[in-house]
Parts: sequence; structure tokens; C-alpha cells
Amino acid sequence: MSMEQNDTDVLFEYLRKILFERNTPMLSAQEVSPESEKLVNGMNLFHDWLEENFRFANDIAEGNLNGIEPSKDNPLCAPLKMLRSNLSHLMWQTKQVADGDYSQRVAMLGEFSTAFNTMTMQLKQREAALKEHNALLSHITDNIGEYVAVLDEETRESLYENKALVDMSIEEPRLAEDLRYSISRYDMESSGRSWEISLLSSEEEGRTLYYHVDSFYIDWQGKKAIAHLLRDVTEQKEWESSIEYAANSDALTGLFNRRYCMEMMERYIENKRDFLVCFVDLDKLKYVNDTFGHCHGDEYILTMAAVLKETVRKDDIICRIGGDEFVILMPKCTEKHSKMRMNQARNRLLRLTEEKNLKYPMSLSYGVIACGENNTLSAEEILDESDKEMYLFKQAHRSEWKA
Amino acid sequence: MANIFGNTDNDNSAVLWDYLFNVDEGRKNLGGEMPVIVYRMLEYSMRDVLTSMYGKEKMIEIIRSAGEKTGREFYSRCLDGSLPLNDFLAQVQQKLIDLKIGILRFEKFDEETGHAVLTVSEDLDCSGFPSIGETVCNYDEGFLAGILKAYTKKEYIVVEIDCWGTGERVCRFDAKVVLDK
Repeated sequence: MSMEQNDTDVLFEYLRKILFERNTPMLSAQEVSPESEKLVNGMNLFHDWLEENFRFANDIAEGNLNGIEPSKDNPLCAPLKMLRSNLSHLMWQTKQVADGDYSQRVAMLGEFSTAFNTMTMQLKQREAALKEHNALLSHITDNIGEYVAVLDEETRESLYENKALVDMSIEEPRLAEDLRYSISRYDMESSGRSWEISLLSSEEEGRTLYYHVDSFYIDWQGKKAIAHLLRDVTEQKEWESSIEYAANSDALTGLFNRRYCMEMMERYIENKRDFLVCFVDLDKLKYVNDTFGHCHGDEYILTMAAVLKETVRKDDIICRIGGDEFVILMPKCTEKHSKMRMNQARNRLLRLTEEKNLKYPMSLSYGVIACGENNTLSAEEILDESDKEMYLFKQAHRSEWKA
Repeated sequence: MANIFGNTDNDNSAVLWDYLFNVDEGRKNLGGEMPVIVYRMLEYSMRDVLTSMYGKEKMIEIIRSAGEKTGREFYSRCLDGSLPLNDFLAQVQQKLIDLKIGILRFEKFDEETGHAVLTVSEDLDCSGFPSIGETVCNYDEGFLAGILKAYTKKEYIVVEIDCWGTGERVCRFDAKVVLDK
């Protein structure tokens, strides 16, 4: 083989390895004739630059923009350096967009510029639309007459409060804090979607404030949140309460009336509760009315009401069901205890007659009926039975009264 | 008798900006544009002469100072300094494209420290330049520093770290706020 042929073969093989194999060792000039030494040096430099180019390209392909810098005079790396510059710039652009900066433009990068700039422009438009939407939402929440609070579902940190609630924080900070505390402890499983908060007013002693709350699980600016809409229903509650009170109470004495008495008895019967019905009658109210006038009659009734209140237990329900007729519903009470109490009331009335030096004696008659789980009587029937018992009592004590 | 109207050919009070406009009227046929090569002939002949007269270091200082003067003037005449930072950067980028100075791209801008890394592609001064082992865009260094100083009211130093002159294909500049001048 000639020297030229040998050099050609060696160099060709070296070129093949440079192109297709990585980490090929440099070719030694001793492997070729002195005439080809310059060519070997050139190919070694080409080999070095090509390896550098591969390494640099791999770094970029893997997203490593801060890899080992190729040598300044390597022309093979020049386009890659431009690519790296552009990627660095795009990385900055992307971060800017992520931070809400939509004013930057990617210039002169062909279709990528168009796509990126279109995306940025659309994001800007969407954000503007979202801001408009949020402004509308804020406007609505500020004008719906309800308090609106949005809390982070997990941390219960406040994410939004509408103007009404912000104003409350200034005018009634304690109330606002109490409401915030209540909603921060909200649990849908136990409270449901609509629930109620009741708070003692710090402004008016003894007054209870009521807030109706509707709660919704929502997505608030990418966070899981709970929106609470609070409505002050204190006046409504108070009005309902006054209506209910008027419907169920006796105007003269303030005791419960017949309607309430029957309703409670039916409820007790339905729930198979143990209770006593004590039918109480004012003795000789008609005589007092006719002889001394209705003012005295009313006084007599009021005295009776006061005495009954003093005598019965806290949980007993006293009702005035007619002119001179009262019924006391006594849950979980023995007949003996009930009669003892009624006798106490009767004696109290008699004592008051003497203390007040009244021209008419005050007294009462009563009849007690026990109801339990096995009761088969209706409320009306129980009332009739207790009335009969009362009548028997009255008959038995008539002579005593006359004396 | 003195010319009370001023603004004559011999008026020494003319400032940089006065020299730059009214080109269309003066060049009715040739217009306001010319090949980049003409700009470069002026720049590099100037660099050569300045180097031979004052040395390389002084030449760079002079060229950079000229760039900074232009940057400040450019800021006050062509840019809206009332814009917030991001909008301002976008504006500078667009202006440099409009005037065909180069394609400005930011790789970093730290709002807290003011440190920025930016590149200029297809730069007027050096794009296509042979690799001579050194950066040559000293005028750009001054120009960018002038804009940044004027906008931020901070003392900036801008250094070119990559250039066509060093074998790169874009010019990369490192801009830092000088804390203790």
C-alpha cells in the first residue's frame, strides 16, 4: 500500500469516527506521513469543535442554559449560542408573563414570536375581562345588602370581604369579629348550606342578634374557598317571635293561651311523653265580676296567674284556656307532687285574701290527669277528664269555701 | 452686530438633538436612511483615529461617553419615562427595532437590585463582525447605561460580555447599579 493510500484510509476512518462516535481519541500525527500532518491537525481541531458543539447542543436540549461555555472561536457553536440567547430571553419573557407583565413582545423570532405575542395579548385581554368581571362582582356584592365573606377553605384565612362587612368592622368591630369567628368555624356537614348565627348584642343588653348564612364552596382566584352570605334577620326574628307570642299567649296574663295548650298537649301525646294535665279553675270568678266589677275580676285572675307562676316548676307550662280556667302541663311529674303544688297555690290564694283584706275570698279548684306512653285519649278528651276531676274537687270543697 | 435670533450656522449653543433632525428637508432625494456600512465607516475610523491619538483605553472611554450622552438624549426625546418598568422596557425594545438599532431582548431584570442581562441581536455596530477576540460595542454600553441611568435615576455601569467581536452571534450586556460611586 502506498503512503498516500494509507493516509487516506486513516483519515477517512478518523472522519467516520468523529462524525458517528463520541469521545474518539485525537489522531496522532505519527499515524500518517509528514505530508498529511497539517491535515491531521486541522481534523483534530474540527474534532474538538464538533465535540464541543455536541456537548453544548445537548445542554441546551436538556434545558441547561448555563452549561460549559464553548470556546469563543468555535464557529460551529455560533447558531447554538444564538438559540441559547433566544431561549434565555424566552425564559425571562415567560417569567414576566407569569408575573403579570403582558407588555413585553418577542421580536423577530418567526412564528414563535407570533404565537407568543398572541398568547400574551390574549392573556392580557382575559385578565382585563377578569378584572372587569371582578369589578362587577364587587359592585354586586357591595350592593346586595348582605354581608359577604370569602374564606380559604383550609386555613380559614379571609380572602375577601365586601364593603358592608368592611364598614361593619369600622362601626361595630366587636360584632364583625364575632361574625368572623362564627363563619371561620363553619362546617357544612353539621350546619348545612343554610344556617344561622345568633350572638348577644354588645350594644343592647339582653338583645340577641340573628344572622342567616348561606355558604357555598367556590373556587376563588385559584384557591378552594367558602363564600358566606350573611343577612341580618334580627328584626325579622323579633317580629316573628312577637307574632308567635301574640298567637300563643293570653293578652291579660301573658300566660300561654288555649291554642298553645292544645298544640303542646298534642305534641306530648305524639311523642308519647309522660306528663300531667292539671286543670285549674278560679273559684267564684263570676261572683266577683258581678258583685265587685270586672276590675276586681281581672285583679283576681292576675293574682291567680302570679301565684301559679310562683308555685309550679320552671319547665311546667301554664296556660289560661278560658275566663276562669287554667291548665298546667307538667312533664315528668308525679300526681302526688302535682297535687301538693296545687294545694300550696290554693293556700297561698287564701292567705293573700286575708293579707289584702279582700271582700271576696280567692281560691282555686283543680283536677289532675296523668298521661304516659300508653295514653289513648286525645288532647280534648284529656282536657275533659281533667275538667271532670276539677269539678269533683270543687264539689268536695264547696262547703269549705262557703265557710 | 450679534444675531439676536440665534440658531445660525455658527451658533455654538446647538445641542446634540439639534444636529439629528430636519434630515428629510436636507436630503429630499436621498432620504433619511443610509446603509449600515456608512455608519460603521464613521464609527470604526473614529475608533482608529482616537486610539492612535489617545490610546485604546481613552478611545473606549470617549466612545462610551458619547453613547451615554446619546442614551440620555434618546431617553428624554424618544421615550416615555413615566411608564412603569415593564412597559418602559417594552417601549425601549420597540424603539430600537423601529430605528433599526438592533433587537433588544432581556434575559434578566432584577427589580430589587436593578441588575439586568440583555442582548442585542443584529446590532448596528458589530453584527457580522469578524472575531477579533475582544468586544467592540462600547458605544452601545454607554447608550444603554444612559437610558437606564435616566430612567432609574441610579448610577449604572453597562459592560458588554459577549460580542460578534469575541465570536458570539449576539451582543450580551451586563448592567449593574453602582452602589458606591
